[in-house]
Amino acid sequence: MKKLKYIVISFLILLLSAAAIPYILPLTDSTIFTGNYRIPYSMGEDYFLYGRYSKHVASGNTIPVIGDSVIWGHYTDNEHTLPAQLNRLNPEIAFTNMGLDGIHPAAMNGLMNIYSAKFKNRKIIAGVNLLWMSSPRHDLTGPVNSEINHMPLLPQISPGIPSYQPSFEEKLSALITRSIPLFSWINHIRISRFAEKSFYLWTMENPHKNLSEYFSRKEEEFKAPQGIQPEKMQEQNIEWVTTDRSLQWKFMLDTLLSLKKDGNEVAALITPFNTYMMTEKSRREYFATLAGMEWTLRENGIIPIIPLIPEKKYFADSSHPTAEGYKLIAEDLMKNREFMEFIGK
Amino acid sequence: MLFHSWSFLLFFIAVYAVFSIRSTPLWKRNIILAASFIFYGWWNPLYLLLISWVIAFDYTTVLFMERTGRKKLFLSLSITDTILILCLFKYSGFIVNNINSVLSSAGVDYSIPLPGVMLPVGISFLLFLSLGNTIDCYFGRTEREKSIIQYASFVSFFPSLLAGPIERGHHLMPLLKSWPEVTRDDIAEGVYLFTQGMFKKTALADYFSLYADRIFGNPMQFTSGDLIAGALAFTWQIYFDFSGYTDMARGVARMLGINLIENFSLPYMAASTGDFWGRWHISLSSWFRDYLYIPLGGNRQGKIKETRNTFATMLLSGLWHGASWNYVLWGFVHAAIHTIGKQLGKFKPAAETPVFIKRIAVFILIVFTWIFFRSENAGDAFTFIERIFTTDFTMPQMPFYMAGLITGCYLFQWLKEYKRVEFLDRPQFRGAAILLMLVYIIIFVTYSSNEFIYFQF
Repeated sequence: MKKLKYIVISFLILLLSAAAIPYILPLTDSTIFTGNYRIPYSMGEDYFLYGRYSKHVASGNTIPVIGDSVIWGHYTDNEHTLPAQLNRLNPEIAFTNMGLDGIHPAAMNGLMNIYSAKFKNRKIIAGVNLLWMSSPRHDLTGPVNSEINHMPLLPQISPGIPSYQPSFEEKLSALITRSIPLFSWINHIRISRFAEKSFYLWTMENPHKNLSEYFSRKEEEFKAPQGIQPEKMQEQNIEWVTTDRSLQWKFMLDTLLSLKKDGNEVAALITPFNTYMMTEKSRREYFATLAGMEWTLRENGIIPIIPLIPEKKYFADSSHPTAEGYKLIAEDLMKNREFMEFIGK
Repeated sequence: MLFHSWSFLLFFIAVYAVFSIRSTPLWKRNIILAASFIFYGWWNPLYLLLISWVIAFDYTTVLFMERTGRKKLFLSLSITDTILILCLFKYSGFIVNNINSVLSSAGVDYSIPLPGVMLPVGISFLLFLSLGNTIDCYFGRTEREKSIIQYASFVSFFPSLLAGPIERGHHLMPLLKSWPEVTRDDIAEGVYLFTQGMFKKTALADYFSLYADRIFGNPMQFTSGDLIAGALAFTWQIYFDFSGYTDMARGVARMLGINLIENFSLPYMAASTGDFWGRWHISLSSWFRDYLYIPLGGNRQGKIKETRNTFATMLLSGLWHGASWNYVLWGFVHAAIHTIGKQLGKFKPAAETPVFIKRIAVFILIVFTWIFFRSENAGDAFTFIERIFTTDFTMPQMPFYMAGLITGCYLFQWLKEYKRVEFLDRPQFRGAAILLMLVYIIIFVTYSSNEFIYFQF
């Protein structure tokens, strides 16, 4: 009888702690969510941090710009991303970088539904990158791929994703861990406070180091990689997945419509794709896809914004602009009547 | 469906909910029988054909033993059936490989294609459980189970189905028949055992495996210090892996009101190899003792026959573990150490050696025997041991934390052996231990889907 009593007490303590700790002790410093802040590269899988950040943004009055590494600014630093360049052209901080490196529309859909704070009656800009439709592999309609980014954010039951075929246990694990805030909090602690996600693997890599070093993480500065030199850019034939068949486009559209349903004004910023790295045929298909997307977006009450980059030197690869490229896009947007109307200028 | 998985947790919650609806033994037995078939079929629905065959065949042989009185014939049939199933599923590749080696060395330019038969999980456990009961019926040590459903629930009882403990009919069957009332103490003990087992597996065994796998994966890359540390890491890995599984199995069964037999009793505190086998995988050791060693004559027919019986038992025990010569060698080494140790024990200095020194000496020997068990093949095992003695001793790359855990585990076993930590069995300490173990797992252990080592047997 006594035996059970103490076990019940232990489980109650555990359950109460599990429920309360993520809220009482979030261990995130919201004072850094200012200026041109973006989720650090090393915290790309810290969805708890993203949740706290989105909560902070939702309580402010800037325009959140959500999206993948193009919005996040993979080839540049915090101060030269697209939202940062837009802020530079405005008298005050008006845009917040809510991009996440490595995320794709299917995962973004999960991120917004599961971890992000709800945005209501706001203006929101969502980056749309055609990279995710540039092959069945990117579109997740190709063969099974075990290296998909942000797998825990993907739908586990429905709709089915051809490239993502986890075991029942993996599905269940993803469903349970993302429904209980304690697990995302622990993941946050591991990523943000510890030297590595796995304590055991860290000891294997540093067998004779003092254990205290594991608990005193040193933030590594993100060093933006070098882009491809323009003269080395080669034309490629791209196997575009058309909008009527594309899974990633369906997820993107679903995210945009969900935001709209919550009373937000939504603009879809279709970020420029490096047409200088495409064959003529691919380029034609690209523009046809763009036209189709524009039409669908307008039909659904979402404002399409389609900036262009005039020269290949402003691209770092097939879809990411350089810092200069972002500057050009920002300047282009500030001249775009529809965009200016959208942001209320 | 591993015990330490979300699937099992959900499965068990669902089974437990239905199990608890009614308290009649019949209801409980039927629910657990259905759950056991789902549990086994979850791995591969085809396994259900195998388990159904084993149940039906052994049930029928025992039935005919009683009805016809031709006990020997039907026992032989049951033994043959068990051996054939093992040969087909477990040893066919091994047999074909060896025949091919003989053909090749005889200059025959032909090799038999490998059969490529899948190895059903836990096959050796369920076959030995069922065969043990048939032998018990033969010797009249247990009564024939009249109901095939009851017999099926005994063979397929899911907590112990995949890796034991290998229960005896006279212990488990009456429990499953009358199904004891589940008390609060049962639940408390079951939860404690399950948590302890999960901790042993995920926090200890899987951690030690990171280092042991690295060393055993390529022993030529390492020198003495790392090789010794690697052998030590595997020594504790296999103990926590298997005893962790057993704790979880016993915990699950206990929550259902069934008290399964103990399978481990501080094996690394053994003062002789005989003592070791009385503490390690007790249900298998006693199976071999009761159904092979004693029927062969045990130690009652002179020293030569005793030695023969010891070697036969240990070699078969080795082969039971896996279809590979290094397991046979492992059994051989154990038999040799046991036989030599028994002779040495007759000399005065050995008999007067303090028991703590014997414990340490036996532990060191056991560590060495695990090298044969873990190595990919016998050649690797000898290379491993040779390099321990012929290469320079350098500081091992084993993490300090792991070394600390291993030292702590060893010291804890000493304290347990000498009953210095019995206070930890008090309810409040157990409650605190559960809390600490779960918090440790949640914070420090990343998701583990490693299977248990003994599942392959």
